[in-house]
Amino acid sequence: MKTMTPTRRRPKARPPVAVLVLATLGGALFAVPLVAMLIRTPWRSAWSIVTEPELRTALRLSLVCSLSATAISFVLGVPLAWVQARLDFPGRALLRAITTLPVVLPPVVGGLALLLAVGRNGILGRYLFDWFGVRLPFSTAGAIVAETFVSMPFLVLSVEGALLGADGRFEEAAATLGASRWTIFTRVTLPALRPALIAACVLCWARALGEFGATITFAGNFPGTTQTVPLSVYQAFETNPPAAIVLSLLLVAVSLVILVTLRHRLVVRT
Amino acid sequence: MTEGPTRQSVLDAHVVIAYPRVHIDVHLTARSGEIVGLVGPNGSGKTTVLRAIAGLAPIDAGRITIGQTVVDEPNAAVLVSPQDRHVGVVFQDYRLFGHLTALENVAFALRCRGRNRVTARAESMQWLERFDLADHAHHRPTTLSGGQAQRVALARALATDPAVLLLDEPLAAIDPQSRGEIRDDLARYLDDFAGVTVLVSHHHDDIVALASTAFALDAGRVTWSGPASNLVLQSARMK
Amino acid sequence: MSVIGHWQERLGEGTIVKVCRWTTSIVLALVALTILTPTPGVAKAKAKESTTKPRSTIGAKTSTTTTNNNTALRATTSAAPVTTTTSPSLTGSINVSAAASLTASFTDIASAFEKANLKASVTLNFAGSSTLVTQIQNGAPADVFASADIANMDKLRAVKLVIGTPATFARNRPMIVVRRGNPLQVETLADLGKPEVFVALGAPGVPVGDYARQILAKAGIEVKPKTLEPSVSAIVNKVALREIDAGIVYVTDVAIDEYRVDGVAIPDDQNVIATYPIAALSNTKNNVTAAGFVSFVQSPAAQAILAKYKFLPPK
Repeated sequence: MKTMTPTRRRPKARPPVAVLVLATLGGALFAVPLVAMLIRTPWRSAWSIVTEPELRTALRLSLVCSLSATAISFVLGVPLAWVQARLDFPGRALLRAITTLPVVLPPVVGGLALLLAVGRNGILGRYLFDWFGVRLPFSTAGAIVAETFVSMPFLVLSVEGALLGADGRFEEAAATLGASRWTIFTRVTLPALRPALIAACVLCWARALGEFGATITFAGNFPGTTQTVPLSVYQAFETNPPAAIVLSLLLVAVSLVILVTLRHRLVVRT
Repeated sequence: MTEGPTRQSVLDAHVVIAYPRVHIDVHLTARSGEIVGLVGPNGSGKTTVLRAIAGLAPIDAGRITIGQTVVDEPNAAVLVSPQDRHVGVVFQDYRLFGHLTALENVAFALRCRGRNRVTARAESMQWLERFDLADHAHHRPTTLSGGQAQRVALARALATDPAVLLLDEPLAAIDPQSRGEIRDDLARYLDDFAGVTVLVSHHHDDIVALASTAFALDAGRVTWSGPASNLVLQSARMK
Repeated sequence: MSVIGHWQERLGEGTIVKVCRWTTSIVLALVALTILTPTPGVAKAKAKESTTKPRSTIGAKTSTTTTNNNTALRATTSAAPVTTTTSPSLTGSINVSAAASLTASFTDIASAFEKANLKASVTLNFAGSSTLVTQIQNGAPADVFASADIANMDKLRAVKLVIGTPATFARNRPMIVVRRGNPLQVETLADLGKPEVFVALGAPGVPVGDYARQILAKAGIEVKPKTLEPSVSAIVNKVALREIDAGIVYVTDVAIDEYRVDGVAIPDDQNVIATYPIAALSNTKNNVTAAGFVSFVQSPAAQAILAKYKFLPPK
């Protein structure tokens, strides 16, 4: 079991040259494509592209789907994280592995799995359709499901990590004061987790916003219904490259804002 | 302001817990108004006994009775949760909720016991005044000094009208200069409390100053018990 | 409170390692299964593959996996041994980017070419034609491009990426693809417009999609597809999975997948004919062999293969 590193101190001496060189290469790996995108952006036509109705439709759809996916991930993921962190039961390791799986799986595989599960002919999907008339594939709800599938694990992992790092002392105190288990959860555990919860939600949202493979496989690709910005970029890449670049830049800008806001929370701290 | 508990509380705790390193077998009893001190070196099991009484550590054998109620008896498969035990705990690290002000911390306890929001806030203000904390009512725990935090924790624990008050090393976090004064304050507050108080410390002088009866623990067993004032006459220097 | 650090530390040792191990084992098992169960038609081509370069499928995400599916699941047709050309043997390796609808036929044609030119090897890359055009425009190392329509080939001609004039080597007929057994009884183009029928068409820029839109416009039928897919393979797979009820693909796609899907012919007067051009690309490193392949595709041997897969002759 790793121990937490003690207080960071800035090294006074210069790091070895090899380290600097490798670090520069690593940094360049990320910086150069971004710079290339900025250079190749058709700035003159950018405004007219950005105001095109198709782009606004894709943006609106992306926002709706990603925010919904985050909301669902929160409602389902926080209790799941709590169960994984605080409850001891046989099969807990297995549960943890399964809920982590979408992080490791290629998204297209996730989309395929969703089709087999809740597609119109999926093992559950056929009942959804026969009994409730609900069809998830090729609908906005389907896009939300796909995004939830890939982004919820991030929320669960973050919240579980935060819960594991907290030791339940305050929950004990609340118990001795007479608080019911639900009160403890909502008035002691969750408020103490607030910074971690916010970071987890934003991470989840960012992942949902950028989701492509599961969406296109499970929900399909149709403007206005399921063609979120990443899918739109994919299509525009072949038919209208300048629009693709502008759209991509938009997504990059949004992501950068998120990451800069969270910069203090994404790095390991003592 | 409440009149204070008027029930005749009795604590009868026979705590048997088998840990890998130490086998705890402690039997202590106390009556209303009594202040029992548990003293002993680190690892002697005193905090564990406290936690067992609070309901935070189930016992392996024995029986704990608070008032007329058996709260923990493995043989009879009885285990009452901390919520239902009418105990108040002041933890060594106070454990004040960081996202709430001092007032809200005490009000939390009152709301858990059924008061509505308005009543809870009013009552908790009275508690804080009683503990000379009115000025800090709207401060967060991080801005309070050790002594102030201790008083808020005490007020919070007492606000639930417990039958048994448990204090775990209440002066551990107090700096040496203020120790004496805060200990005297604490003695006053404990005197006002009509239920049973169980106090844990590894400082003999704290026990002598605050408790009426003392139990000395070592390696999970009671090695001596008697009036707290007799503790100084013990020859063995237990650290 | 850290985020990544916490879960890395707490879960890193045990769980993530376990998950990675499981995933790797499962993936390896699947790969082994795929390699070890060849279908007759692909057997010879794959056997040849293992001694030369592996067939790369650099195509778009979805079409890659679906293309592989097609190749692996196809149960029919063995590649007839082909004796060919009297010209001297060609050498070297070439990359051929071909439209997804050419997957089965070009796999056989490439094998035949390699048999006739033992020192040459062909690496095939299948995807929607528009995807391939984008790849080539962005520098993908392709020597030959076979497109499912003239428009996509013209995009490359416009930027001078094509050597000479492209030759039409085959034609194809669009066809309605429906689920096995056609449970919704789609019989005509008009049926595609019914709201209870889930339809998939090709995305804008993808030849089969553009052909489909031409056909529907010509017939005056309005269809609201549920999804716009990047290649024929994607459409066929979704129909085979029974998530989509019908789509418009080519006659050749339905012919090779007869166990998974059914087809409904489009009347000739409503149909358009798809024209497939092929050309060597100007960035080729091996123009002799590239040109040789282009000629080979137009030779009787390759034409016979195309006919077997139900392509129409170029004229």
